[in-house]
Amino acid sequence: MKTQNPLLPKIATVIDIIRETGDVKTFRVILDDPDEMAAWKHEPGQTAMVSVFGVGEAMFCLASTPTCRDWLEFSIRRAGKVTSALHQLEPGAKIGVRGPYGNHFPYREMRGKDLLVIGGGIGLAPLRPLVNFILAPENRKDYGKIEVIYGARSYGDLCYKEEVFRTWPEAEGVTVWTTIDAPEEGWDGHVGFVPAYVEEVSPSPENKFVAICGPPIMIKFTVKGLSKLGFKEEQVYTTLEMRMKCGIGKCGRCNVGARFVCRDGPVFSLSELQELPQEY
Amino acid sequence: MESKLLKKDKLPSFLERLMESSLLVAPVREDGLLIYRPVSSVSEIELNPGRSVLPPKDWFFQQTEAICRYNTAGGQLLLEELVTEKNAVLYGLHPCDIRSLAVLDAVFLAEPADRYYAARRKNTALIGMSCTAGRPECFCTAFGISPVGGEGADIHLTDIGAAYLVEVLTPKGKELAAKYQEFSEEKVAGLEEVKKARKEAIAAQCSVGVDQGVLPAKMAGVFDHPYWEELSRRCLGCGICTYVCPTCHCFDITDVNSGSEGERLRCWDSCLFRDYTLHTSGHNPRHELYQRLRNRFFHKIKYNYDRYGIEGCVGCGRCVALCPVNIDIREVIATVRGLSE
Amino acid sequence: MKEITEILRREAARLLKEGIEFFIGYAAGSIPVSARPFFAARPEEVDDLVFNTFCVHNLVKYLIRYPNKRVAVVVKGCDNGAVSRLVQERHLDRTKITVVGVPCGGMIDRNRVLAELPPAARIEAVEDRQNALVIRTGQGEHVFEKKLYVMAKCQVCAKNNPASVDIMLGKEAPPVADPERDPFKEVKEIEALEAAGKAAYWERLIRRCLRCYACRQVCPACSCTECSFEQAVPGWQQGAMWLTKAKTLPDNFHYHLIRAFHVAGRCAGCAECERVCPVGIPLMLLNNKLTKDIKELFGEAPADACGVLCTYSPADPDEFA
Repeated sequence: MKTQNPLLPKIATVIDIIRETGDVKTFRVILDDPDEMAAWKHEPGQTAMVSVFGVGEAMFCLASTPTCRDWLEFSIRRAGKVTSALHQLEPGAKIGVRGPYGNHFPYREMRGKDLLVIGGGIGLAPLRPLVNFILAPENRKDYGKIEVIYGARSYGDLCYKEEVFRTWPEAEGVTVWTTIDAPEEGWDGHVGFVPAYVEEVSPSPENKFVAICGPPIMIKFTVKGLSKLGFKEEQVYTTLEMRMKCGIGKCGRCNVGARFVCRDGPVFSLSELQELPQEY
Repeated sequence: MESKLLKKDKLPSFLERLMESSLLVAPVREDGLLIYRPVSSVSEIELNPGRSVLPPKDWFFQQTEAICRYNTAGGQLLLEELVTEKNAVLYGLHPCDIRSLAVLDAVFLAEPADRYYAARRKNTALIGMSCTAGRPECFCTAFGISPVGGEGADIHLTDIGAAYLVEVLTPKGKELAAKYQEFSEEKVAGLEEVKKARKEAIAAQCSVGVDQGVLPAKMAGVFDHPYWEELSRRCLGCGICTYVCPTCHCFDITDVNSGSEGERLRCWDSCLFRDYTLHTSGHNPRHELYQRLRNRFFHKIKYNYDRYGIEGCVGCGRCVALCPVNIDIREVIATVRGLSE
Repeated sequence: MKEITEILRREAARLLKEGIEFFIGYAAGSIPVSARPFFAARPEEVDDLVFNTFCVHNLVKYLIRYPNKRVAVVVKGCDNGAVSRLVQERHLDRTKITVVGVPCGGMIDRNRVLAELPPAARIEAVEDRQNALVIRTGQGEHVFEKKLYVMAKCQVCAKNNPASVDIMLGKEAPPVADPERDPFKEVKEIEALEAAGKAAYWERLIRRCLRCYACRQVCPACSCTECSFEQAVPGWQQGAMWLTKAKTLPDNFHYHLIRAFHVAGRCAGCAECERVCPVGIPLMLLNNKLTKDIKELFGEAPADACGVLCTYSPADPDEFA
């Protein structure tokens, strides 16, 4: 049996591309080797390295729930070299995938509790597998209520519209609040920034975990609001982003203090973040 | 542990014998610079090397290494892994550099192990060489390293005058030693004392006394101290310290194309470069030079210890000797101790 | 040297009391036969300032980091050209800088001196005796006649007393240069080689380059906020970079030759690039070659011009049109 090479990607095919927003696409991908695909196991919050050979590799969170065995999904915003190349691909294109990497949301500790999910823009991507994982029939009874507060700059910038507006609100024990930053013709929902909306919705901190992801400024102000509402740092989790190259804690680049975001993250509780140098 | 004597004039023959079945990587002086590289003849070797400019980490963790070849023609994707499995002997490592391999092992061989480093490490035998003197920048003893200690090598040589004391330390070393039976002699009594005296003489020359294992804890309290900004004022932000350091292991991965074919390369990178942590969005967690410089010292002295239980610095002194603006890690260590008392 | 040091400390204290942010000079190094750049920020710190034959660093480049602060900087003759260059290129506000000139007796070539000490000699004391450097080791005293052991750039230096400075520390120093030496002697030796010889010469050296970028970082002519070789251009050719981090012979050549051309016409001749190179690449050969070519093609630039390559004259040689 060949020795595993953690830097060598597995060959995968893009089977579908879903446009979420003007600059975000969700790539549905299967590993070409059926044994590798069957053996793939990830946990909500984990990440994987996606390669476009000839251009480069970048780390993305897995946006599909681990309970989906048919494919992997990555939601990718076009921003730089690798993401631009990805956005030019068509279904059928071959890419490289290696992973899963990193830690995950503490979904075991969340059992028996409620979950508050707060997302901004593409920040909903790492949170989506957590929600869908909990909503999977085999898991639903282990968890309590789910509250989703999700906002973006505009209606066009909201990702996963199908889930946000239909599947999730229609699921048992799930409430979804959505907001956009500025008024827009055709939108009669809430208008305002996510941090302010969170204070308005005023969720209770009782028996609850919080998972929050989005632009740093949104997180900063939302966390302040959560603190005012009585949430403790140990119950609030977020994900960090860093420039990554190896994804396996060897190239040194993604460190925050003595932790590597690729291995010890990307999921961190606020209390864990307090212990780290504020360099992220 | 087996110990023998190898008369100095027999050393070249021994090395020649090794070259019959292995690639020999040895210290060579090129244009005045001492570097480790494969040799085709024993006459190229500097048998009693001082401190090389580039550390021998380059043999195990190459500055530029192709990790795979890809071909994307016709909409397909073919990947070919490129791992070097070659038997080699690395001759002439000083104790600081031998220890540096233990530091690199902790990084590269931790799960999931790096195939490229692991293959070379497994297939390379190490012949260590005790130091005969300390250089002004040396301070290996600060980290519990003995300038005459061969721990980590397969065979270790100590110059004791007309001959070398040869210590065979591992089964791999025993295999190598079998190749020099006819060159070696039984050792005579008293050589341990010679070795001990040598160690003490060199240790006396190394200036810094550091409490091994205590310093990492002291670093935490000085993270926000203005000292780091003051130190960074003269730092150029080049990569010399990181590239000549035997334990620095940061790397970049990049694809280099030729049409629809190409290679994915792994190359050394430096945490001091501006773009090291630069996000595509333009955000840079360590956008100021002092943050990057501070991060490097914290990594060397604290983070490496916190993660792997071994300090990231081996006191070889290369960065001290080669920093264009004389940033001296021994001073940094002394300052941290002073600030935290 | 002692008198210079006294005046230096006095002036530094005075300027710091007047409110400058930093007095950028030199302090003693932590290893023998060396000094280091030193940023005195308070009058109490001036006693660490020194000036001696180990003060090789060009401090001018640091000024770019403090464009809006009042700073003072110590310059030798070879460093001085960089000040006007950076002012003309609008990196610096000359009114905010106090240029403190030192009359220079030449800088010791540290590597050459160390190479000639007995191997593993422990240096116990170093004494600067005006015309000679005396190093005492466990094996006795070693005397290095300065004229023979100053850096190559000093042996052809025409400007060891910097001009147009705000403060001059002491009297003019006598010339250091050897008037017999041709500053382009080594350049001409390479020019005289056949193509194969040139290729072999340069390949041997350029192959060793670590791409540590110390030469670029230390060079005052390399003042771009974002270097060409750091640029990743998203969207253009799928984010092609001019250069990756890979150390290969073609990439190394690419870096050095392009950088030499970016510096051409703007090189101050401080030779810091060559001094800092950890693998001993004689980079000044490239810079001097271009300086020589520019001189032959275009002559000298007018004193107030941005640089000879930034000026146009109808008399410029033109083989093309």
